[in-house]
Amino acid sequence: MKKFVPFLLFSFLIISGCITSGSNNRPDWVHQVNWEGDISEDAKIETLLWEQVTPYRSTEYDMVNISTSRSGDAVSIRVKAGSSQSPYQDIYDFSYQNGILVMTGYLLEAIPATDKIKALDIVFSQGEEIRQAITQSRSEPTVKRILPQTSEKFYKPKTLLSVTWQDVQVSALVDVDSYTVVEIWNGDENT
Amino acid sequence: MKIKTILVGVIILILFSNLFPASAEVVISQVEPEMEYPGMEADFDRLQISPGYENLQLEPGESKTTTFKVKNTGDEAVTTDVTIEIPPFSEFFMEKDWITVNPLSVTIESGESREFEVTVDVPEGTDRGYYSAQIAFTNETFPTPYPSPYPNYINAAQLSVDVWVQPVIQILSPYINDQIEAGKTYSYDIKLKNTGDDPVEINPEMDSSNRYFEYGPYGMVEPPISDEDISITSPTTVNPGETVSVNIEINVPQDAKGYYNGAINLNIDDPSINEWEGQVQLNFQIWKQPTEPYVKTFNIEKDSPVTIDIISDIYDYSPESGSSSEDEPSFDVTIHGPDASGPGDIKPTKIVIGGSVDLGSERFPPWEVESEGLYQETRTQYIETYTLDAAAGDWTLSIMPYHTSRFDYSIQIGE
Repeated sequence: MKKFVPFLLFSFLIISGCITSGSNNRPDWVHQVNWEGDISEDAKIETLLWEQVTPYRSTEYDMVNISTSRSGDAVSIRVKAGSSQSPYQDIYDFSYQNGILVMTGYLLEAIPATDKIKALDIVFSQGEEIRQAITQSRSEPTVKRILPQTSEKFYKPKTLLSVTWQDVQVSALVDVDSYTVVEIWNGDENT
Repeated sequence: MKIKTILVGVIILILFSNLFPASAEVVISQVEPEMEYPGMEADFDRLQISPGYENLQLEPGESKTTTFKVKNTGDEAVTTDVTIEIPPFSEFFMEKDWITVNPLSVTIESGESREFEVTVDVPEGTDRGYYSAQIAFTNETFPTPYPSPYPNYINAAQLSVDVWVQPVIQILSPYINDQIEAGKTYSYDIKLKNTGDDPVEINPEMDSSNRYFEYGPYGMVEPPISDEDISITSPTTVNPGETVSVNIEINVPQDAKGYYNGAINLNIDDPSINEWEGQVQLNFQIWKQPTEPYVKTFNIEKDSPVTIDIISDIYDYSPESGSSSEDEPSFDVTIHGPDASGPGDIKPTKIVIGGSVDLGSERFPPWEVESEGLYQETRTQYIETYTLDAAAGDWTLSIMPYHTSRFDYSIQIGE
């Protein structure tokens, strides 16, 4: 019986998901996390991070690096997340103070190639104004994920993609769900 | 006794751990602005619904529950009467019975909030696409001067469901971006992997339906590469677990100039792939290797050291773009002094790889403002520096560029 008890305990843990979910309520779509900097692995901060750090749609983060630097009571946190589905990274900046985590910036480019193509396709098929402008461009466009809290200032509070030709100062804000270009920026103003 | 204590402890731990499950959901709390209706008496119930828009991504057969928070911002209690409305203007139509709302009817006192659980069940066999619905919490609608085929509810939230299916065929190189030279032939391989259990048929062909055209002063400009210049060699079937290559060979015409865009429709017999996802975009910047160098003459008043910089941009094509541009820009430079004297062919004394990294000083679109403060490389340059001691008189600088369609130069006379 005594030999059976450890097996029973282990089975309980497996069934409850305690082991598969990992520590710190780590989501299933995060495969590996590294902490570095002034703060070693902190469960509370990490739990708060997973409320705001999410990959694009069906992508998963293979590696997430969390670097921290302390300045007085405040902690600056930079999260760099990479996915095998994209050669680019998602970067998030946070400030943590008095138990509150605030996102202070982000640059999200870990978008699968097929989704980038889809965004470009929407721009090419609908944005006559952009088609004309980008004939002058000599660079590849960047495709960045725009989070709902930013999107709502221009359209709706939902994830959008920004397709930008920086050298000719042209950008399109794309709603992939509705297959539309919702806003165009040409360096001077939005249209 | 000890074992029993441990067991009880573990069970309590398990119960509490499941209260806070790992979740990929992000709840963006937003407060809908209170709506104003100028010129109208506010004789309808005022509910604040958060979020006002919800997007779910589900596969056929999947189910998901999301929560809407409804706050009564009016002065009187409101009893909800939930209605599901399917917009008639859409490519795909959701069935009302996909959505279950709990509770349907509840009284919310003034200033109080209630949460409504909305569960979406996508039936097996549902076509891939975007489906939308309106969830109205009261039956009050905006007044319209004419009968409306679709009630515009006042107290409603929008629900969008992206029904998707994991594609069986993965396109490993979904677009080709390259800088190509007129008169040369280029070969690219588009790799397709079948991750399913059944063979999938493909039939790649050129597709001009999404091509965008350049316009000149006299109308549309013919693309510099025609479909006849592009040949496609492909298997007709991709077997389970197999990765195949679709070969694209492009014979760039001698007189081709400018920019080309086109697409290859792979015609993949996989219903989980939308039309645009089964395409490979082709984007080419065409350049022609000049046969004559660029010649610049300049005068030096007195014997002086001369420093010449030749600068070209480097285009960092993304890894998935299938680019063949492995050659970086380079230059053959000759320089002759008065009476055709001088060093002739000269080699650079220095090569510099430079770039521009922006932290937000450059203008970015307003929706990318959150990336300010993060490093973004906006330009990469290749610079060759040539130095010589030059005698007074007229000098001739000849620059023959390779693998670039544009360069800048500077001539510095003196220290």
